[in-house]
Amino acid sequence: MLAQQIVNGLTIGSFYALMAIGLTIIFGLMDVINFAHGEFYMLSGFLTLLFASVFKINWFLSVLMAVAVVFFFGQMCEKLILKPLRDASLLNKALSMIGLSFFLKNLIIASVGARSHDVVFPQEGVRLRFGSVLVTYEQVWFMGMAFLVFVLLYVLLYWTRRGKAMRATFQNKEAAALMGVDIHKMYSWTFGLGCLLAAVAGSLLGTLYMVYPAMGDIVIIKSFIVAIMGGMGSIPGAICGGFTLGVVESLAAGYISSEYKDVVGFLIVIVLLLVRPKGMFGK
Amino acid sequence: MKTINTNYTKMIGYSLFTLGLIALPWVIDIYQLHIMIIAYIFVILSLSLNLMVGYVGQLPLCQAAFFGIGAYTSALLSVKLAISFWPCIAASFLVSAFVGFLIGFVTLRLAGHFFVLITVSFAEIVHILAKNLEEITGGPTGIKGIPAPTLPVPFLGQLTLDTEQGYYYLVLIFTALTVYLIWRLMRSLVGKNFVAIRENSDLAEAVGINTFRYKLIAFIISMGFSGLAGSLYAHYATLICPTILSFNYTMTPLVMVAIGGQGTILGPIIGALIFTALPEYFRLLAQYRLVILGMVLMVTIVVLPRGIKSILDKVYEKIRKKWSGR
Repeated sequence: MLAQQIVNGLTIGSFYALMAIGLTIIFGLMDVINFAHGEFYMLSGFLTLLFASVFKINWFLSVLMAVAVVFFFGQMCEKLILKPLRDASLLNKALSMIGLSFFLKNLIIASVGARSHDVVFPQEGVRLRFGSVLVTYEQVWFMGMAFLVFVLLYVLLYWTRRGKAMRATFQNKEAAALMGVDIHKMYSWTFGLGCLLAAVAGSLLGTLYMVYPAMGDIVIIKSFIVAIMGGMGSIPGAICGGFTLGVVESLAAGYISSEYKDVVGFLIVIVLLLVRPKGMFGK
Repeated sequence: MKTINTNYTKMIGYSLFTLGLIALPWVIDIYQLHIMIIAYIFVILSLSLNLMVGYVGQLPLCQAAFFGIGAYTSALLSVKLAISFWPCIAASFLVSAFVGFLIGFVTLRLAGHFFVLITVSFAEIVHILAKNLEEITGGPTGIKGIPAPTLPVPFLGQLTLDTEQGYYYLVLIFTALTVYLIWRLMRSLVGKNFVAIRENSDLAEAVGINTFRYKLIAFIISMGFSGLAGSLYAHYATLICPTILSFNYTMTPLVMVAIGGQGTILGPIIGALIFTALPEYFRLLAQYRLVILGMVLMVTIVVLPRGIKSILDKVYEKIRKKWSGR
């Protein structure tokens, strides 16, 4: 029972981590709280549904396409909305993102409807058993893919030129600009990358559970909590925070009550803020 | 001579306006009156939100939660304990203000984004709790049969405000009271400290303003009034359910404040009136109401960050210049 809960918690935790990294890099670089994060997540779920279940394209290819579309869409949103607001206050940037979130979610509800849809996964229902722990084939795949994304992100940030430029902008915008980094490009890249991470989580979790317009609502609250737990702006913090929250929630659901598992994360974060306001990995 | 003249015209203007508001129930039909009542409730909500967003420069995303806390407090007290309206609305104000104190005390010490994120999470938690604590809140079906307020009138006994006309006056009085109190607050030293914090928090701290304390005061007042609006809503609607805790009720006042004009008294009032009335006349677009709301917020922030009030100010300035030029 305990091992099973922990495995389930780690699965969901890897997705919280993916979402929270996206939030945290966007916040760290641009001072933008991306309230539309949950909607990029949702859009990707719907795109996967569209490609895989309606157009009958191979599932893996559908995920790749959905993620790519959301990446470019995210960049477009950044150029249209956030670029004119570069010097605006945190408050106004957040407000514009709230507007975007509301717009996207309700546009989907108005055009597609609020129903839930199931995305068909090729090997649905296959189960593996490790001792007393039962894992679905999907779970293994998706966790593997989440880890692959972590690795790719690491490679991108630390081994490529673009990653270097990104980290430089992260540390000091003016200095990076003086060294010849096109920081506007970095902004839209980072925003796109953040949305891409949300999109990966959306495609995978959408397949694991259901796809519906409000699917981002609770997930974005979770990723806020994770991002605060990890210290806003810290990628390792977001990863650790994601796994911690996933496991704690899963244990709370197993041993206390599944209705109140969502409250546990909030309580943790309040206590954490009282004890260590900068988060686990905050500077 | 000239100043006396303008004061005189101003006074006539205000009196006519007040008379107009008082006479309104005789002029418009019940449906329009209903819209006005809802609009007034949103005026209270957006003014209280504006206190934080417009004056202190912090973004609380938990109006729905406090609107709901006020509504549920009032509903529970009046339905389960049969307490009359006046203690209920006072309790709503106090309970909301107290919860506001707790949340603010933890988060307002920290950088602005913590406050935003904690309040939005808190609102979601309250929503979940209201849906799940069925013994107390009645779960998804909510609480029914909230009594209409009664008013003790000399020689006439108890007057029950269960008609739209009666309730209109009640809400009008509370709205006027809110407008007046917030106006007074913003003219006081406390209000000036709020603006100082918005303009430059570090500088404000340096000249001796305890920024944490003033942010906390603003937040407590703001959430107290949100609770009051919730109580007014509960006694008007007579039934409440967890939908009033959804993000829509945070979003709507935000749009009203942003469109009307952040950091002004008139702006949020205009925003609230427009955004309650307009959707009612565009019934055909009902499906797209929320889509448009999101779109409007996005576009306003980018194109017109100071809201409709800034346009009005410009027009007013032009007219004034023309008049004085003659």
